[in-house]
Formats: sequence, C-alpha cells, structure tokens
Amino acid sequence: MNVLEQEFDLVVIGGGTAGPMAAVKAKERNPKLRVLLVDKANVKRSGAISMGMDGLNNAVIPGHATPEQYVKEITVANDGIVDQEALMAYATRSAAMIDELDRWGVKFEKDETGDYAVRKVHHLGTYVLPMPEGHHMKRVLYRQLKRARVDITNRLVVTRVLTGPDGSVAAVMGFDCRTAELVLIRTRAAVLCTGAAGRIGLPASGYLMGTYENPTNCGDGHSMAFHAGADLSNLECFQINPLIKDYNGPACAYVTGPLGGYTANGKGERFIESDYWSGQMMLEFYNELQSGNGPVFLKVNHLAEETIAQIETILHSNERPSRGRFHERRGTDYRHSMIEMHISEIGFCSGHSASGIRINARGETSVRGLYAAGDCASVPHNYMLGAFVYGKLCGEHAAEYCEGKDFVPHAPEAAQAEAQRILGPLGRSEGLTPQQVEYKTRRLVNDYLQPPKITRKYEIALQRFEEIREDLQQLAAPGPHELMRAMEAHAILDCAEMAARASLFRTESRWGLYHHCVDHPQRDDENWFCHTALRRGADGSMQLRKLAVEPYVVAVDESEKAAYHRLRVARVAETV
Amino acid sequence: MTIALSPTQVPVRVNEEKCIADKGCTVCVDVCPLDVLAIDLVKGSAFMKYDECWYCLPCEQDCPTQAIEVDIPYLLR
Amino acid sequence: MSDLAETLVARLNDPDPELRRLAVMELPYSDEHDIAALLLPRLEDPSALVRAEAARALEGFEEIEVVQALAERLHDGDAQVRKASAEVLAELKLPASAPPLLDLLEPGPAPEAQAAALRALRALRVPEAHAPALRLLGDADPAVRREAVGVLGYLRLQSALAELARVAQDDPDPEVRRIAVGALGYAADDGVAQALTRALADGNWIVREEAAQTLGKLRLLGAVPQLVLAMEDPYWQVRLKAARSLGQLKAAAGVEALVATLGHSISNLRKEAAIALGEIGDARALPALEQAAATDADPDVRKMAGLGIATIAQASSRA
Repeated sequence: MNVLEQEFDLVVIGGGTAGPMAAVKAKERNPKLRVLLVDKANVKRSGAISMGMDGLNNAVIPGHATPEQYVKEITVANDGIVDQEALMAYATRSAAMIDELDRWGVKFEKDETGDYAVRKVHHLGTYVLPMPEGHHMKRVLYRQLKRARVDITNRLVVTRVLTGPDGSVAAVMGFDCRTAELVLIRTRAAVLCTGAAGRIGLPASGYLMGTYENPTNCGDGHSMAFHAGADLSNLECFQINPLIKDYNGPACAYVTGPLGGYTANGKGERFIESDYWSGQMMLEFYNELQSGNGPVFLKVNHLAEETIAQIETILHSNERPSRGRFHERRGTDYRHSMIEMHISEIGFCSGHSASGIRINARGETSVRGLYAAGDCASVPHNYMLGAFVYGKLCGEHAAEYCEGKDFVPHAPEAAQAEAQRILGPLGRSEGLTPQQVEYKTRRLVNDYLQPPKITRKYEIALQRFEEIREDLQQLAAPGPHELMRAMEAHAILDCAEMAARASLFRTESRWGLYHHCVDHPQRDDENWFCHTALRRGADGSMQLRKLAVEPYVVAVDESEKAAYHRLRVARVAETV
Repeated sequence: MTIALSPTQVPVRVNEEKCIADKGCTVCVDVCPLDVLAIDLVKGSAFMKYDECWYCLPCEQDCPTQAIEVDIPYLLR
Repeated sequence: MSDLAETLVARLNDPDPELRRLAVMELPYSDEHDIAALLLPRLEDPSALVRAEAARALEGFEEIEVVQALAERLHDGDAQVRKASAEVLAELKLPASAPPLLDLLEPGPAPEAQAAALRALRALRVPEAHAPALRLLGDADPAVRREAVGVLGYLRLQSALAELARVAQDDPDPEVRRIAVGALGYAADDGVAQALTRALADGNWIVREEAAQTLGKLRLLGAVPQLVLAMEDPYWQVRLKAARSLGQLKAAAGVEALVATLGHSISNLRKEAAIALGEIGDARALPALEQAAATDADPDVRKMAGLGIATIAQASSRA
C-alpha cells in the first residue's frame, strides 16, 4: 500500500474562515513552526465565506456594546446553557479582531470620520457591522497566509485524527481527491476548522447540494473528533435557519432588518417576537408556516427605492450572489413582491446555534493536542467573527503546546484500518453509489429527525441508520472524486446518528424549535440545566453524559431574564 | 454490472469559444469548492462533470475570459 | 519553486497576452514567494488587460516601489488600468506608503488621479495630507473636493473644523456637503454646532439626514430644538435619524414629537420613536408607550415600547 508520509509541527484542517486565521496566528506566535493548512477544496475559494460575507452580526465594539452585555444576551438567547468564559473570551477580543481585519484590508462600513458604522438590531447591545464590499474576504486571508509563509495543501480530504499511546494527537490521515493517493501526516497538534455539518438533512428542493451551508461542510470534523475520542456537546441543539424558499440561501434579516425589512406572514404582517436568531424565533417561524397565516415572506417592498437598491447590491454581490439570478428567473422584484421563505434542513453549526466539538476558552478539545474553531466547535452564536477569534486562540495556544510537545507514535493498526476503510470503495466495481447512500441517509433524517422531535420516530431512525452502516461496506467508487463522496457519506451517517442519540438523551424541550420534543414538551431546568456531551465509548458506541454548566462570570439578573422571556415568548402559548 | 448512469442537465454552461483551457488555464477547476468541473482534453475546454453544484459562482467570477455562466439548478428554479 | 510556479513565471513573458494575464492572476496563489517583484514589470505590459490585472494582483503589497508604480499608473492611457490602480491604492493601510500619493496632490495631475490619491491617503491618516487636502477643498472638480473632505474627516484635526463647517454649508455639490457634515462628527465647537443645525435645513435631504445623525453622535444638546423641528421633515429618513439622535441626547423636549410619531404609518419610525422615548426616560411618554405596547400592529414596536416602559419605571424608581 502506497502512503505519502509527511511531518509538520501543526496541521490545520479546513481553510475557510477559522483555519487560515489559526495557521497565520500559529506562525506569528512561532515563525519556526512548520504549519500546514489543508483543505479538501482550494483555500482560495473554500468554506462558508467562499464568496465573502455581507456583515458582522455580533460585533462587540466599545461605545456600542460591552462584552458583559454580549455575554448576557447570548446566555439568555441560549436558555442559560453556555460556557460564559468561552463567550467572554470571544467578546473581549471581538473589537481587536475587527481592527486587525480592517488593517488586513477587509472593508467594514464606516462613517465619514472613519468610525465603524455599527447598527442596532437587538435590544441589549448593538452588534451589526455591515460589510458592503465583503466579497474580498478570501483574497485578504490568502494574502496573510502567503505573508506568514504557511504551507498549503489543497484537495486533500482528511478523514481521521490518529492518537498516540498517551491519547494525544499523533497524526492525521486522508487522501488526495484528485489522485486517491493516501496521505499520513505526523504532527504534534491539529486544529479542526471543518465548518458546520450542513449535509445531514435534505433541502426541500430535493437537490442534494442545494444546502444552506456550503455542501463541502458535511461534518467531517465532527466525525473525526468523535473517532479521536473527543467530546461533542449539545448536538441536540440543531441548526435550523429561515431561508429563501427553494434557493435555500439566507434571507439575511440582519442585512435587511436595520434598513427596515422584516419577516412577514401571508398577510404581510410582522409576527416574530424574539430579538435574536434563535430556536425561539425559529419556533415562531415554524408555527406561522404551519398555521393558516403562512407562507412566510421577507418583506422589503414598502421601503424607499434607494434602500431597496442598497439591499439588492449587498445581497446580490456577497455571500450568495446567485440569489439575484434566482429571483430574476422567477420574476421576483424586491420592489413589488415579498420573497417567499421557508425553513432549512437540520444541521450542526455553532455559528447560529450551540452544538459542536466541545472546546474551552482556549480552543482546546478534550483530546490533548486537538483544537477546534469556527462553526464545528461548540461556542454558541459565534458567527464569522467568532470563527476568526477562536481561530486565533487555537493557533496561538496550539503553537505554545507544540513547543513543549514531542511527536508521539500512532498505532500502526489504526493507520492500517483507516487505509483499508478509505481504499475499500475504490476496490469495488459493484455495489452502492455514494450518492445513493447519502441520499437515503439524508432522506431518513428529514423523515424522522426534523423537529418537532418524536421519540418513536427517532428510534426508527436509529434502526434504519444501523442498516445503512452495513451498507457503507458496499460503497463503490469508480474514481477519486466519488471516493471523496463515499467518505463524506460515512461522516454524514456519523452525524445523523449523533443527532439522533443526543436528541433522545435530553428528555425535555429547550431552545425553541431546535430541541422541541413532543414527548417532553416542557423545559426542565431541574434535571436538564446542563450541557450534554457525546463521546466514543471503549466499544466504539456513542456514549452520552451530562456536564454541569460552568460557573457564570456575568450574573444574569433574574428580572432582566424574566423581562427578556416575556418579550420572547409572548405569543407562543397561543400558537403551539 | 449493476451501476447505471442517469443523465441530468447541469447548471454550469461553458462557452467553448471563449474558454482557454487549451492554453493551460484551469482557474474554474481550481476554485470549485465541490470539485465538479473538469477539462475536456479533446475539446480543450472546461465542463461540468458532476451535478453537485452549490451555485456559489467562483468559477464564473474568477474565469479570466468570462466563458462561464452558472444557472440555478433546475430543481430549484 | 514548484513546477507550477515555474510554469507561471515563464508564462509572465509569453508572447500571448492572454497567457501573461492568466499568469498574473494565478501568481499570488502559487507557492512563489517574491510575487511583487515578478508582477511589477507587468505594470508596463503592452497589453492594457495585463496591466490592469497586474495592478489588481498587487493589492496588499505595501512596499514603496509598488505604491510608486501604481501611482504612476494613475496616468495610464487606459481607463481600466487607472481604475484598477486607484482601487488598489485605496486599500493601502501603511502610512509609509504615502509619499508618492502626496506628490500627486501638487498642481498638475488630472482630477481623476488626484481624487484617487486622496482616496488612498484617507485611511493612511498621515498629517502631511492635511495641508493639501485643505487646499483642494477649493478644487473645481467635485470628485476631488469629496475626497479631500474625506481625508480631513479621517484626520480629525481641530484645525480643519472651520473649513469643514464652511464646506458643509456652502459647497455647491450636495454629496460634498453631506460628507462634510459627516466628517464634522469628530469634534464639536460653536462653529460646528452652527453648521450642523443649518445643515438640518439644507435643501437636500441626504444632507439633512447626515446632519440629524451627526448631531446625535456629537451629543450636541444645543441642537435639540432643531432636531425636534426635524421630526416634521418631509423625508422619513431624516425623521428616523432625528428620533435616534433625540434618544441619544436624552432630550425631554423631544417627547411630544416622538409620542406623535408613535402613531405614524411607517412601523420603523414608530419603533425608533419607542426606543428614543425609552432612552429619554420621561414619564410623560408612559400612556402612549403603554398603548403602543398593547395595540401596535408590529411586534417589534410593541417590544420596544415594552422595553421603554421598563426603562422609565427603572429610572423613576431610582429617582
């Protein structure tokens, strides 16, 4: 068996948002480190921000918001289940990160004196900072990677993190998706920056890659963390987003909101009570869709011409620029018609919700030498800026860790087993195609896991997933590209099973629609005011346990919490 | 043999007149996050080999000769 | 150097301009390290397409040779090359790259080049740009005046206030006046206060909107009566910013006008008024806020009204 063997001090897996930052910051901390950034696509255009981003929605800038306000708001928005220290680590570094990105050439909206034009959206703080020309993000990041002399390998699919006898990171393994060549990279430490798990469910259009998330983000990092023995937390807190129907791109209420746009029901009336993009808001959205008041629309046609033109410019040039084309083809003009919206397939994404590979305020997972940042890591509501801040934290702490850490050997049998797993589909000329297996897994996710969650349905899903796990042994891939899809099908199934098991474990309802359990409709703080953690047991199975919520660093005033809740849930009782 | 090929209309259209893949250009193939584009060595132009498109547009925007047009996949239109 | 980088470097001198351009585009993404030195000669390429591409590819290389070469391209015979060079120069962040740009501000260069140089100097915030920018406030070309105002706003020097205040009132171009009004948002003296309150009566609404916003940013309490008047501006955009500023100023004199706005048909205005009334914290607003919290058709307005009521209650319990 031919395996290309390499050695680096630090390997960063995923070159989207957090990854380039982690690699650059590790190199800045210690220029002597050999740092490798790996992407299964091309870093030039990979990840959730491949086409840029139209704004920051969690900017904590002095004079507009304080870190304490931010921590409070996310604590309440996340029903109290947060590691406040990790939130605070983000909040106190947010402004400095914006300044650094500004110096790097990322264009934020400013007023005529050069102050950031921060906009008010949520009631406690002021967090939106538009980036009307945010389509240059990747170019800016690439320039910094070159400047810091980070090594880059594109089109390399990493599939496993191998550990040594002491349980710490020893190597990563994968293959080239153009040649199918196996690669084993010995390393002192690794940072997972693989983004959301956005290909667990099937989008309503039925088009396999028509997902909300960049479909490359299919949960490989979540799966790798699991197999390496790391904790993943609160996976039952799904990501579900309000999207433009069929197109499946974000409706970007945070772009249109400050300019006067809003989410409306079929009668053109506002109905959303909650402030924040949260499970509560999604529950209100879901209820409206199900009620006679649906469908739900994004309404901007009441706005002035110049405002609509501004919205169009931002929405049609950044993040998902094909949106304009989608509307044009259907004859939808923001000036005259409301834009139909729908809810997304489920996923894991800490950027918008709270699930992921469990990390602390230093970016460390529970496996020594393994770090995680961005949408795949567990810090809630982190968005793009949080990915940058945690990328930086991971890069710096991993660089420090590498200095005092020798290479450790990995178990040869583990590498052997992984090589066989990867090569399996290539050796079969007959069998199941990756596309079929993926489609079936994701279709079952929609049938059984999409909230509202019902215990019996989840049990059926687990049975069916078990059958598909056997089918994985029949995957056949005629070439390297199909092999990539086959290995992704493995990761997708792992994520689907984790989603189901974590959801069954938490026997209460919490986070609005994200964990809305029909058999346990009430929130149960007495038994469930805790994180859940999932990890691999000695027998390879998924083990779940409760973890206490870390002590708060910012007290959330009871009356404040109550006031907030009254505002958030005012009408839910009538509609559920 | 039990594996069939199912034809499908793909969203990426390449203008073969404008495409300069024959001169060694691989920009669109390089930037595609899903790696679904390839070069037809006989025709000397790029084409969409796998119907796995996120309609994200780097191929179209980064093409040096504006040879690519990305449509919204039929199932979404 | 890898094979790929070698191919690219060879292609930089290929007879086919298309291939040269392709190499220029790809070079920054190769594992070649000395990118700027390889790209600089391409700014002199016979093909304008290649020159423009080279300018774009040089973005972020803040070296004096690069800045100099790009500044020269502002005189290029091809409009595309001039545009690309101007855009790339505008991205500079390193003050040391200012000298070649400052040279362009001497009399002589075309207005387009001077505007581009000013634009590039803005974010650099070098004090040497102060004098030429002040002088160019009198330029015949409005694009040059606009960028000159921009430079002064970013520099935030006390000594520019009087001139900016004059431009904010007198410049014939409304966009120049608007930027000047915004640029005054770094310091307040009597002249500034006067210029901004006068700008609230400008014939162009974009100037009035900017003035309403800047008065709040500067916390100019003396402008409250004019902001209250602005609550009757025919443009809702102006009223919205005026409402926001009255809230920032905690202006009790604004309560009546804001309460009246709670009944307006545009829900964003009602929402802004409710927020402002909460910030002002005056109990006189309570009945109107209570009604809005209970009956407004827009949940956002109801929510902000509810929050306003809570803030007012808190304020009075502390008093």
